[in-house]
Amino acid sequence: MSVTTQPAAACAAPRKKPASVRFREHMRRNRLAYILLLPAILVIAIVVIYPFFYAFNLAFTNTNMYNINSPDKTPQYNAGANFTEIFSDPQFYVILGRTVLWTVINVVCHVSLGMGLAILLNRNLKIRALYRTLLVLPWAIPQVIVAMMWRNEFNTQYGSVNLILQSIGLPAVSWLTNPFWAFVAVCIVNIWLGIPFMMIIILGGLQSISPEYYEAAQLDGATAWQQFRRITIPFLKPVLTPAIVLGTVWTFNNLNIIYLITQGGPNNGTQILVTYVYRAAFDYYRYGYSAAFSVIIFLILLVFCLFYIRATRGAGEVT
Amino acid sequence: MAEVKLVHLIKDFGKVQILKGIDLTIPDGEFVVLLGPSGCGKTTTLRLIAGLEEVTEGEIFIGDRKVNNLPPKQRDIAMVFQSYALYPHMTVYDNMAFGLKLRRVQREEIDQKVKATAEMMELTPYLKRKPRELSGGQRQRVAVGRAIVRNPQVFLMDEPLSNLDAKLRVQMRVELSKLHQKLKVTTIYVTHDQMEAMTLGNLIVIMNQGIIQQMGTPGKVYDYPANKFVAGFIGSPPMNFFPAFIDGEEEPFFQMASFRLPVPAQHREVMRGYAGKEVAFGIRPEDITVDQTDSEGRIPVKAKVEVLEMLGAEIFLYLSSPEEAFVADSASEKATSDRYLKLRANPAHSFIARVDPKSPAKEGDIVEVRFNLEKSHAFDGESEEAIY
Ligand SMILES: Nc1ncnc2c1ncn2[C@@H]1O[C@H](COP(=O)(O)OP(=O)(O)O)[C@@H](O)[C@H]1O
Ligand SMILES: [Mg+2]
Repeated sequence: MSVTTQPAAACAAPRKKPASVRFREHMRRNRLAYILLLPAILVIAIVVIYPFFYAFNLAFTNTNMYNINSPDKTPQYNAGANFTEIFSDPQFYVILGRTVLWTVINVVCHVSLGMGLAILLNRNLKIRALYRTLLVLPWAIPQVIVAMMWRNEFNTQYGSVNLILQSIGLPAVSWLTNPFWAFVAVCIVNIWLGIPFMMIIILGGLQSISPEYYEAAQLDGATAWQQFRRITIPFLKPVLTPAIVLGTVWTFNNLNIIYLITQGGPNNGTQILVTYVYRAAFDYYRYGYSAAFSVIIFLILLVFCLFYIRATRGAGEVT
Repeated sequence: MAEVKLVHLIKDFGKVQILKGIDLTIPDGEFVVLLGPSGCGKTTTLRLIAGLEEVTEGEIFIGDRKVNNLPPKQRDIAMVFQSYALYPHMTVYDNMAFGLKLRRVQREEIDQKVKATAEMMELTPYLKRKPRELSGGQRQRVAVGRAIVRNPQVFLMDEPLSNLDAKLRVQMRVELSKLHQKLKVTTIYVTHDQMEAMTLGNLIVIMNQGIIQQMGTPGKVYDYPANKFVAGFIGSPPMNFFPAFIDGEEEPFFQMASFRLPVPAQHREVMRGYAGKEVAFGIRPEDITVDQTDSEGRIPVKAKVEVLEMLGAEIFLYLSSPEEAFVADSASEKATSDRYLKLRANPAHSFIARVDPKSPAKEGDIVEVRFNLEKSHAFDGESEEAIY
């Protein structure tokens, strides 16, 4: 027994130095790199890592406005009561469902409309500069102003959206007072806002595809759709994957637009997870509960990212 | 398989005319090389035939079909791109199968065809690899394999070997030749490399500035170039040209700046017509000798060896005939002629001789060179067309 295992151990021993030695060697070799990284590491530690663990800790306490800085009360660990409360609240599942719907609608529209526009722009050379500028505009305006502007456009009486609808013979819609239409309205605004980012990313991807691949495919007999499916999509995958992951995370966590246009109303009809958390934290001052909610959101997104990246890795990669 | 016929093909890009009327018939099953310097319109011609570019004027026939308005996929051609344009996200197998899949060929048939082609192209071990995992030569074979697996009527190849190193290029040249002998598919092969053209083509079409200069077998275009461009383009090192004018009534001769040479007897008749006119005298490097003794009574011309290139089996001598070398008995009477003055303005000729490696010449030597006038060429000074 020992005869058979020894050669293997003897073989491995000289190659693998003790971890401490390897660590010291590694540090010596890369000292300058670490020194240069230090400021960034510090900033990240202060603004990301510390708050992350702080929130995680907070999630298991009953911290709220009354006990956080109070002389006679202190926050207590409450054995996951926050989580129990969240998961037993039917409202949570409604909001989760709406958040998923909101994310899917937005990301699908961002990607498909962004891709459509990118393909148009990539083709037509003459108007490209003009259109590019016009289409990037939503991106260049501060979101607060965008939200203000759209809130006025959706005004039932004076908003241009209704004026346009009426001018083509459609009835006026009470955009911001009907929960369904309010949800439609915030979706429209967020789609409008998100298209330029996807368009720019996809346009960049499209421009890196050599026209020869399309020509080869044409000679091979590919129709326009087959070229899109078999050439464009695989070539765009390396840019689409991170763009979709980022877009999903941003949209899932997008507080600004909904908060600025509807504050989650009317009647919680446009509430998504982050607006709900925001309300719990800054309107109801339930810090522990909000932290637990945030942890849940974080875990949902983490699972999504892991699955998505795994699913799109491998087959069809282009370098 | 099919004949390819181009009828007065014109292609403009914006205001620039790139192809200025190409008339060309490529017989069924022939391997034709389209040869010309970079930018002369070879790729454009191929792209027009493939349907990747729209014809400005003229007609294209493949077989007896006029294909001007047919999209690429209906023309039944395959093209090997200069950069290969292999789909990087597909395996070798899928690259070759793509065209067949799109044409809805049965799965078993695709499999059988791809495997047979892979066997022929020696690609069987690489079928599961992606193009980036292959060497340049293997990629090239995939590109050719992708073209032949569909069994098209016409192959178009745009400088397919230009990305390979010299040795591999020679090897692939032979393989392509063999492949054509086996498949007998009409092939149009584009290259700017005249060596490649000479060794590959049954027929060479020489193009320059959007115009076909000459079409013929390698031997014919080498020995009987139709004009000065072809003469200078085919052959390496290229043909030497000397500006000259024709003088002498009964026995015309070429008057160069610093020497003169008689017109060969069989061409006297035609050259008399050029009396007093500017021409270019052309002679290939291998038709110049530097032997000290000459049994055939050729006229010696003095020249200095500027550079000597030893290539093993032969030597290239870069020669110059200095002004002092000029010895002409009738100099005084010619000295007044305008033409002569013009020639004298640029008296030094430089030219190349390809000689036996045993030749004793050294760099810096003044040697006596002799021209094999039977093999000389003459070109019209204005039109540059060959006179003989
Ligand atoms: N799409 C195009 N637009 C404008 N000019 C072009 C285009 N394609 C080719 N040309 C021009 O046409 C000429 C011939 O090009 P090409 O056929 O590629 O030459 P070759 O293949 O013989 O090197 C070149 O001067 C090139 O700049
Ligand atoms: Mg070219």
